[in-house]
Amino acid sequence: MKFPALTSTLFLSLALVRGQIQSLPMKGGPPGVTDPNAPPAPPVTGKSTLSGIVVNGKTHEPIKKANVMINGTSSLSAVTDSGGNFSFRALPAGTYWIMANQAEFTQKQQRGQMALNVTLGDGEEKTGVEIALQPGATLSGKVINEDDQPVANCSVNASRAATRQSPQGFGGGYGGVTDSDGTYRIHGISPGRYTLRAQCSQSFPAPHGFMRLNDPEIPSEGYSPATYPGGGNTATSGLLVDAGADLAGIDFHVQRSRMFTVRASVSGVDTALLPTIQMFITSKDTQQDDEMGMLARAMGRRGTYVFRNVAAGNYEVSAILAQGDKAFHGRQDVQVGNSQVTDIEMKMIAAASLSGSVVTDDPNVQFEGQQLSLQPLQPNYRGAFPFSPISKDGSFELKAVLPGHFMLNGLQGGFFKSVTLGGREVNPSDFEITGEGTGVLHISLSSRFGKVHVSAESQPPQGEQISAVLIPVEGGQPQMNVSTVRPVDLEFDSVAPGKYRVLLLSSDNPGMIMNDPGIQKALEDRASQVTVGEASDQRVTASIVSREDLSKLLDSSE
Amino acid sequence: MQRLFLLLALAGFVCTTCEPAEQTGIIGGVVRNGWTKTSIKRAIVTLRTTGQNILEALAYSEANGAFAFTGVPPGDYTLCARLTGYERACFGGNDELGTPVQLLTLAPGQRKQDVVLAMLPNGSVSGTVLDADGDPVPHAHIQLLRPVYTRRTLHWQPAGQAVANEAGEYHLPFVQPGDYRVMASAQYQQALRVRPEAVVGQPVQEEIYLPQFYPGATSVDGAASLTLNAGNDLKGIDFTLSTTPQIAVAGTIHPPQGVELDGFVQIQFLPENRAGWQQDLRFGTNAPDFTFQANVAPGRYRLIATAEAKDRPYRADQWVDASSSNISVALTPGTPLTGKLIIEGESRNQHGPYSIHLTSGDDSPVDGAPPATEVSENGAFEFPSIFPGVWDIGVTPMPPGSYIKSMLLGDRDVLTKDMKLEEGVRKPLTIVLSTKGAVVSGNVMMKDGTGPVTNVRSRLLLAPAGTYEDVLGFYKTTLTDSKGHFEFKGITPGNYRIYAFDRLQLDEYWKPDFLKPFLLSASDPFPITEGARVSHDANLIIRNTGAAE
Repeated sequence: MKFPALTSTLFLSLALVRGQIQSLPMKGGPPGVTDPNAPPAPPVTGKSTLSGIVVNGKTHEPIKKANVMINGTSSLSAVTDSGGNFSFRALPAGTYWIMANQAEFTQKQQRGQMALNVTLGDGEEKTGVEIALQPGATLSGKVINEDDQPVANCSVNASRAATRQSPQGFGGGYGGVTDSDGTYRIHGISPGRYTLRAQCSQSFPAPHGFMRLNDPEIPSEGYSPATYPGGGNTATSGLLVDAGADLAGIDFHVQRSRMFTVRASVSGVDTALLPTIQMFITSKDTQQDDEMGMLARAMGRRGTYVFRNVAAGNYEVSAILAQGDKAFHGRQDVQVGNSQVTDIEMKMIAAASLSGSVVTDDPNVQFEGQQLSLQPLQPNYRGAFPFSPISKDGSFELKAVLPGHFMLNGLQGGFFKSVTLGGREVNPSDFEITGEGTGVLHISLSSRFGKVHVSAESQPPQGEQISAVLIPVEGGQPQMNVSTVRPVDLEFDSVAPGKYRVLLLSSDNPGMIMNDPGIQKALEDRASQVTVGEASDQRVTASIVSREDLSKLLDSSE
Repeated sequence: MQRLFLLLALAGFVCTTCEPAEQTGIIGGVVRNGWTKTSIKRAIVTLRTTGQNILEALAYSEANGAFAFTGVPPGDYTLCARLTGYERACFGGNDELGTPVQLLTLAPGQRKQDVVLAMLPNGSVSGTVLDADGDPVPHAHIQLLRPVYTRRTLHWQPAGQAVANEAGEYHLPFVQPGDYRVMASAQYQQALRVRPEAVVGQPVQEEIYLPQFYPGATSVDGAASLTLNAGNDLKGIDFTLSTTPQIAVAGTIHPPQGVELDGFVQIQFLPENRAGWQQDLRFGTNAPDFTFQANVAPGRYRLIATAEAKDRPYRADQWVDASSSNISVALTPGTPLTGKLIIEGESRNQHGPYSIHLTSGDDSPVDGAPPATEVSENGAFEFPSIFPGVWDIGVTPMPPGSYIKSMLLGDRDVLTKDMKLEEGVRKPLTIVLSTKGAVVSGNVMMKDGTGPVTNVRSRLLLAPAGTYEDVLGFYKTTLTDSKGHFEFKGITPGNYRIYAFDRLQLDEYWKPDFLKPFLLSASDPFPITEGARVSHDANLIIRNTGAAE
């Protein structure tokens, strides 16, 4: 039986890290450390050449000192001159990928399309290859306090909005620090929608009468973080940054406020395990999409954890200990602000085991050797991902399951027909495990998959790669198939019963596109619907979303 | 009168458990920029008591620079203002670094509200970092270095750093007055040189940036010393980094026979004559081969490899030349150091528990906290694993008036001489701590015989004379009180001289020959025996130019 493909990781484009050299094998290697690979084989030379120019995609000016790399039958790298020129010589005939980067630019190719692809014939001299790089944008402004005074040494951070697929945000973040006059400048930012946050971590004492030096009761003040723009759902708001934009005056206003200390002492775990506990404090008052918990610093081996510079308010302190197959957790609400130091007791509870069994309607399915595993759905799940081998009779025991929302990872040979937890039916793509007595997990597998055949309303040009995407409406991993064959006819043969949306995309890199929730939403009305029943065979037609349309979507909704 | 009322309304009341109100007074004034004379708002003003247990009251200066402390009991205090971007300013003036903070004596019920705290703005250093093509060097790192004579040898201590922006420009604010050398580096970053043509089969020699010390020197010794005074903005401190072909260094780490390492081996390459940590290269290597390869500039490096197996640390420390091929590095475990702490003169548990800690005396980088161990009830202590090298020993706590009488490794003196530990089994370390430290007290007198000096505090240095002149641990410093009186406690027996300075930075005397010019103004050497109480005055040495005696 075909195993449903894990598709969200299926993208072939090379992740370019801003300002750094491509991770391709290079002669000589970058300074610092290189992986000790096998020594390179003597290069085969040829008679072809490839030359061109690297330009600013917006102004069409040449870019000096851009790194250009080709990879294929041979690998080479060059650094452009002031005219943006590069040339590769003595190349053997073959296919090559060409990439370029420069610290202040981002490469358009990474967003959904493959790098530039060139085929060289024997003795061919290909000239005029133009690589356009998008200029990075610059953000600048200042951080000022309520007295209109600049605040130095604040970190200003621009990060991509978090999505459900990539809860930590993706593409990395950019940051800067304010100078003595309170100004900051961040450059080389790739286009997109960003949340901006200024965090001034300095703390200073509040006025007080005679007290001992280093008295923990000395009142202190600090600055609460500020965001730009403030509030709202970060996935749709946030600052839109265009390629090469120069956005000035992005100022932050921070307020001084009293800061307090929370001290937590831990009980319920062996003293030897104390240093491995991770403790976080998160605000209950502000509803932020991206939860920014503060990590406590452990004090000595006495099991005391200290959070400093906590603003007044209501918080939840949570603690996690995950060591191998042992896990503990604790949670405590705390109100901060009544006194300079608030002491709490954190009682750690051993994470429960979750036991259960799997049954199937197909006598040919083998459980033994298969792993049942849970995938945590929240971004801040801090334990190990629970898994357990399934024994011959279908029973399993997942140890050390911390409370949270989970998805059941698929099993070989069948789809989840029904899943019950403690007698209640739950959605295998999203179910909750609480701290106490969750009950037994019963999984019923069915091997009666359905099939879906996808064809196109109109045929695309020869050679163009078409991807079909099958998205379960209830949630769960989409499946993808790609083909260059004509007429377009893609088959999914292990489809679990349920409702699906079907998309046909003209793209070599559907995974990257489908990872973007904005694009998924925009494509919703281009999708066809199909309902799959047990052992049924469904045919569905869809219209192909062209490369131009996808390019436009990528450009506009990032 | 109105102004007084205003001050009272804004004032910080310092003490609710103190003397009755008739006895208490007010200390207040303004905080100003020492150059422009404009008032400074939100400066932190602290009023501290003197004596054994120091208490501190804190207030912020208002928009007009005013501050006040009310309900202040009579006594001696220090009063200072601090604010990022400025040098600290204290009552009694604080023009030169190293000048002791003067005391403010408040009489019962006195209202001293005319204090002016003049703060001088910090300096800054700025410039650009370019490569030989005239293009900015991406992520160039700029480091200020100041000379420190740790263990009487010159070390360069990092004192502020900045990273250049995309145009190669950097700005380092908040620099304290002092003498600095400036280094720019883009270490272990592939040098970007224009090279538009690449041919298959032709090897490319990659290059690496060399650090540069302003102006244009390749080592810190050839660099210029830049003096930064308060408020100085040193501009145009520019660099042009040159490049050199990189060399591939390769080798293998060998764990000892039969030992399975946890995790990876951390490797550090420290260049010879390095100044500041920016020049260090750090990376790791894994099982099963533990091979490594790095691309570095030509030269000699100190290779330090560290790893752990079952919580036991292992290390290698050897010099390698970048041009060597196939470097073999053998990891060895640290060996224990055991010892005994003997307390003379009082019951052991009065101040304990004691702990012993070791700090590297030969610039060996130590991962994590320096080794420390607790001393058990019977005085025994053990360090399970210490690597070979020079180590300095510290004992905490040092009860008031106590001193280290002797430190012996086996029968070798390691108190006045360096403790060099070798591999293998070590002799035990015996430390004798005596609570019967000698006390030296006296007054600071004017050179002309009048005195004691009471209008200004001075800093005293008790310096060993003769054999132990180089044992920095035997030097002691203290300040006079408001009457010109000083006292040193816990003195190790020996011959000493006393120097009384109007200003002295705490690490100035570490420099060899620093004291030579002042020898004639110091007291003649005199002996101090165990537990003695010696009375000896000292003549004030004035270093401030133009100050009257």
